[in-house]
Amino acid sequence: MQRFLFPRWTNKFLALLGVLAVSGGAYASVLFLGATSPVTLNTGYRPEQPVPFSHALHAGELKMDCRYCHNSVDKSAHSAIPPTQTCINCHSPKTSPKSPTGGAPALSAVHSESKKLKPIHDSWRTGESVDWIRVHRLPDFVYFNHSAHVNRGVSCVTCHGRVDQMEIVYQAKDQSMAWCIDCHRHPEPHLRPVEEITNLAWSAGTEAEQLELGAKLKAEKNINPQANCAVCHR
Amino acid sequence: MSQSGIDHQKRYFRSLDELQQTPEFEQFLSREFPQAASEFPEGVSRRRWLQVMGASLALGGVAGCRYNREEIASFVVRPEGRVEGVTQQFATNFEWAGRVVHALVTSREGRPSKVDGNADHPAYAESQPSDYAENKKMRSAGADAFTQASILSLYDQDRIPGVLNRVAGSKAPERYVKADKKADPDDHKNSLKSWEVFGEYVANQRVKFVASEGDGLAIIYEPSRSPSVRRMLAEVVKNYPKATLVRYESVFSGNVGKAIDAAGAGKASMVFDLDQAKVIVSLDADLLGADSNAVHYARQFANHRSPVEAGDSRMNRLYCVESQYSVTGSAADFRLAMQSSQVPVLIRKIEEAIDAGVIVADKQEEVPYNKLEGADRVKRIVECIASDLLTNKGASVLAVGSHHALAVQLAAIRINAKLGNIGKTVNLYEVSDEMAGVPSIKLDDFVKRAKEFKSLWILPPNPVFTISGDVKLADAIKSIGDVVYLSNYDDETAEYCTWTVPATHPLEAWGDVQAADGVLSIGQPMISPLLVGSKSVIEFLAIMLNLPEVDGQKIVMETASQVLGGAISERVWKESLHIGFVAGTGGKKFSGELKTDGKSISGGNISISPYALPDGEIQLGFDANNLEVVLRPSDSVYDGRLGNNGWLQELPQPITKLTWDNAAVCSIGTANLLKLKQGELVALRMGDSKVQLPVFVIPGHAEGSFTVNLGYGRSKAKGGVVAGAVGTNLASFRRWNQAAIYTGVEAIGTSVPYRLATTQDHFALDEMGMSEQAKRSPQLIREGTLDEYKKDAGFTGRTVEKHFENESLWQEPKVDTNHKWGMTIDLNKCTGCNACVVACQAENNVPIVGKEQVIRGREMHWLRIDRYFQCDQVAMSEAHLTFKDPIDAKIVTQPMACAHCETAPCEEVCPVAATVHTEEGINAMAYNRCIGTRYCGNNCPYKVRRFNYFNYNTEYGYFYGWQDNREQASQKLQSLVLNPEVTVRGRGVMEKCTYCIQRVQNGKIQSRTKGDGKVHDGDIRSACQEACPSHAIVFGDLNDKTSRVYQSQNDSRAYAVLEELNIKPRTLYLSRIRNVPKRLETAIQTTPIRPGHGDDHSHESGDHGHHS
Repeated sequence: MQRFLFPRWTNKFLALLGVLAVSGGAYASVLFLGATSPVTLNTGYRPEQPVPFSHALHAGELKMDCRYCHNSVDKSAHSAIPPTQTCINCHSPKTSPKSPTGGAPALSAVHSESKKLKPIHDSWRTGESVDWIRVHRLPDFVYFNHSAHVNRGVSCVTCHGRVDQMEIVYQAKDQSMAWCIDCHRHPEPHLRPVEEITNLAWSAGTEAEQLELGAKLKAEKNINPQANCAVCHR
Repeated sequence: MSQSGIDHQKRYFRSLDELQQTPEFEQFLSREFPQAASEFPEGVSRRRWLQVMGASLALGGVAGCRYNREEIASFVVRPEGRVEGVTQQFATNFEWAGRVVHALVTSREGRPSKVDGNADHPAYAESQPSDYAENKKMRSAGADAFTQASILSLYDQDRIPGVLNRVAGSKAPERYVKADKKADPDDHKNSLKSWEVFGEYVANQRVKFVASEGDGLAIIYEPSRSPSVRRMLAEVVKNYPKATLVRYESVFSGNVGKAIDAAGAGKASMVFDLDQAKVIVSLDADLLGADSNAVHYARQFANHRSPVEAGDSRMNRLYCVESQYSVTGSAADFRLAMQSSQVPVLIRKIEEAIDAGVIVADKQEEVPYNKLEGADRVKRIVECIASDLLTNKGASVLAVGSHHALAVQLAAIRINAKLGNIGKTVNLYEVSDEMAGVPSIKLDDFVKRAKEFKSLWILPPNPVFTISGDVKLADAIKSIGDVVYLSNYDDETAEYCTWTVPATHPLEAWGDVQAADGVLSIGQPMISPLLVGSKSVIEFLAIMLNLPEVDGQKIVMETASQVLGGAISERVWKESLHIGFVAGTGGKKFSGELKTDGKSISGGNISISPYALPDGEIQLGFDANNLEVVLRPSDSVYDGRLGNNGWLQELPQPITKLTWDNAAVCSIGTANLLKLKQGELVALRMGDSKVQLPVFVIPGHAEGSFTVNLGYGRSKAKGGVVAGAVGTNLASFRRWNQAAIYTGVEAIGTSVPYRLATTQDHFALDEMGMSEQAKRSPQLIREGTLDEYKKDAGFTGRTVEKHFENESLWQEPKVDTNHKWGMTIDLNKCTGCNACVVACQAENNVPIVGKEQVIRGREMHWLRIDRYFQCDQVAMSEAHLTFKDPIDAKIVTQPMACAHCETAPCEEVCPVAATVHTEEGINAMAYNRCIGTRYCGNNCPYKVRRFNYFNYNTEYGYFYGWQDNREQASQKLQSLVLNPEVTVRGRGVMEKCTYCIQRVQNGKIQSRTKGDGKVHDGDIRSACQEACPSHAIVFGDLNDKTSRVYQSQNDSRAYAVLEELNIKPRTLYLSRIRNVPKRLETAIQTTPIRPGHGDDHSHESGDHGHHS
């Protein structure tokens, strides 16, 4: 009796198996790299905040400067989240009818009874913080400094996108290391006059004009960003 | 070099193991890290380890790919002037480990994170180097290791979180339980009481004391330089006239004050002005190390250590006679090792020589000093000291250790008066630690009279532990029964007290101190008490007395008003807080005549004949019938109160490099003759006093003398997680009426082995082989005498045998035109005081690893201080230890950290480019890239790289075995000390000095956002530079030709360690110059061997070792 053998025609599957293994491996790695890429993981992250604060309204329509709230951005490594007090400047709650001021807001009263502003008003009354959800987060071993950038003419829009058009803020750029280094090596496309850093709609004109201006500012301000490890990691 | 030259060669060695080439030392040389590098730590079972690792893996999977959702808790109302992410600095002042600290505290988001000296305080402002006057930015005050480490004690996880009530002598509660919780009745008795319950108790007591006028009440207090503390103690007596104050000093130094009083200067403190002193004679006085003004003195001393004469400023000369090897001894130009008990004889001989007007011209003698024997030796030394003192009248200082007897203190004052030094270099300021007109008794009297007392308040930290064994304080406390104790810890004393009230850390409380010259300095809290309800001494006393004002700030303001003689205005108060002191106070010098003329001195209540000093011959050799033991407070834990501070416990002591222990330190000769061996126990006995301690042998220690540090040997249960069961308690040996020096001691070797954790051989620079080492060590450490320097200022460069321009094998990194960071360390100014080591640890989140890990050579200090012994006559053959004790061993200390080589060997071998060069020349570490091959550490010639064998920063509790029963919250408390500007490194990662890269980057950013875009000299200072009391470390930009670092690197004394490797380090050293009198020069000092000397090797003097 002949031993059982695979028929000869099955041999072509062998090649197919090889092709499958190679392409499967390639597929898996592309899938893995794609899935774990900062572009996939980080961009578009859009958490819901305790108060539906609209940057599109405040920074866009009302044209409030970014630094009205994020006032430490040009002084410190961190761009501070505003204290409740900053909100209360416009949105002060009505006091209770029994209180001395008889139910009138202490300051100017925009939406003094809005339910959406309840967490702010609660915070103001109780002294407890409002727990905002962090949108842009770099790893702990990255030491980014806001003041170093905005004082040299890198606008908010470069890293955060058109926040003035966002109803709910999301991460617009991938903020990966490659993305950082790209700008550190070629800062020209991202430099603008320091007066315009919070004007998110500002444009130098065409791409060529931007590059020309960028080169000029880079030379004027002696902007020579380094790209070694110690710039951000320490 | 010929073999015969070895005998004569100036030899350096780091330890006796090295000298003897023991297997242990060879292992440290041939393996970067000694055996068992990847073993589990002892005390952690493999099973437990796997559990932990398994748990962290599981958590890793849960976390997923995205970062965790993070919440930002914003302020409701942001404090005025606060910018998130920007540090603020506040001036404050406090007493710490027997010293007065004038501090500038760095605060981040309201959390104090670093303590440095306040350069604007008059104590430091006036002693800045003259060339720093123009550049205010270079000014720094420096701060000693104790002060640097004080921040860790603030976040100590062992501090008691509330009032503790216990039935005296009962078992300690396992865990603090809140009073309102339902617990079993026994537990309740020993539980954490709320302040209300304690308040009821206090109210009841008060009623009792008011009725009895305080009869039966005793208060143990510690003498204090705080006017408010003294005022509150005086209040006690005012309110309760029959109460008894009990004065207790854990480290006795009372004789200094008594001597000053007796000499007729009243209550005053003696402060030396070393800026004006050309000759300093230190007799067992550790002026630059253990003295309470050490930081100040080190600064003044270092101001005059440049061998270059400029105007009338010339290099000072420091004589040091001592038994132990101290920091001052290592910095001295001339040092004599002599028993402490013979200091009275020596000071008498010096005084007699001064009275006789002995001035001997300083010229080369036929017989070099070290060939002299016994009496001839002493005679020449006394002549030299007397001549130098007499030729520098009014510009010299003679200091004796504060632990010496009254007669010795008086003799020192008298000699200074005879030399016309009083009011010039020796100032007596109206400062006191006593309460005027308030009587007090001594602690031993109190113990004897314990039956008379019904209530007791205890203010000093842990007196039951710090007191000598013959005073049965614990029994006295037990017999009184009603005891309130103000303490940070549930310690040995708390065990016997009915109530233990949590004390504040000085950074949490209002307070005040008098500076050395009497300037009133205010202490302000940096943070609210972390453990709610903690009280400072003044608040505690105010509460106990029911004073109308119990608020710390108000009490301190009231004291300031009394000092100023009128209510302090809000403006003056705010200004005083800002600058750290109250302007216009203090500085009152004693200007009258001291009573030093007659045959006897009497002042105050003291009467003593001035020539009560013993006469006789000084014995420098070993005499088995005349052994002494000298007890000194520890350089690490002081009297034990800092025992729970891990940074200090692991800090290698300046000379012995011993960590986590105390030992009986003695000389080689003494050890040999008594048949003692390093690392074995010796029994020290004096009458019925006895103690067993490990022996530690060190060259240059006085013959027939043992030095032992106090403060160790806390009980395992009560010592806290760090201090518990570390070292040996000396209570059984100590006697109340003998402060420090014990004579007529018996020492018997026991042959019982004991493991000591010393870092002295770790990370040795040199290769094996005595002949090779003999050649090379003088190149690592370069020194000469002032005479040689004057003849040949460039001798430093000629110390290297082979010196030619090497071709670099590597392509050298491109250097930025903007900045080129570099550092210079002046070995002539460095005293080896360890301040930089702790400052580096605080700044860079350097973990501690525990004794077990230190023994394995895994300590993590980025900056270590190598100290090399050097002695002329080592009469030894190549292999055998047959030498005479190198009693004249001199020490050179050399701080060693990453030198940031331009052609760094570590960078070449990293397989993953985790250590790379920046454009500005810093050898950077990218921790996240590091995969832990340790090739870099292996290839580093300086041995400055450290490897994280474990997660020391997060899991270091394992190494003490306490993590399981510690609450999460208290671990979090400890982590508050971490500097957020620096990555906390995890397991498997290499790390090393970064030149404080975070300070460099932030400094550059500051200069662009706030300044003119340029970094000026002094804008960026490394943490070690800022902490250095003696300005020995200079950091800066080598591209800036005006910078101090550029200038010092072009000094003729500048050299690179291991320059022959052509690695071009950025850290250079300035060679050590000893201003030794010609008559006291040893043979090798008179005719130094300079291998390069006279040869025509190419070298450019003036720009040595530095190649850009």
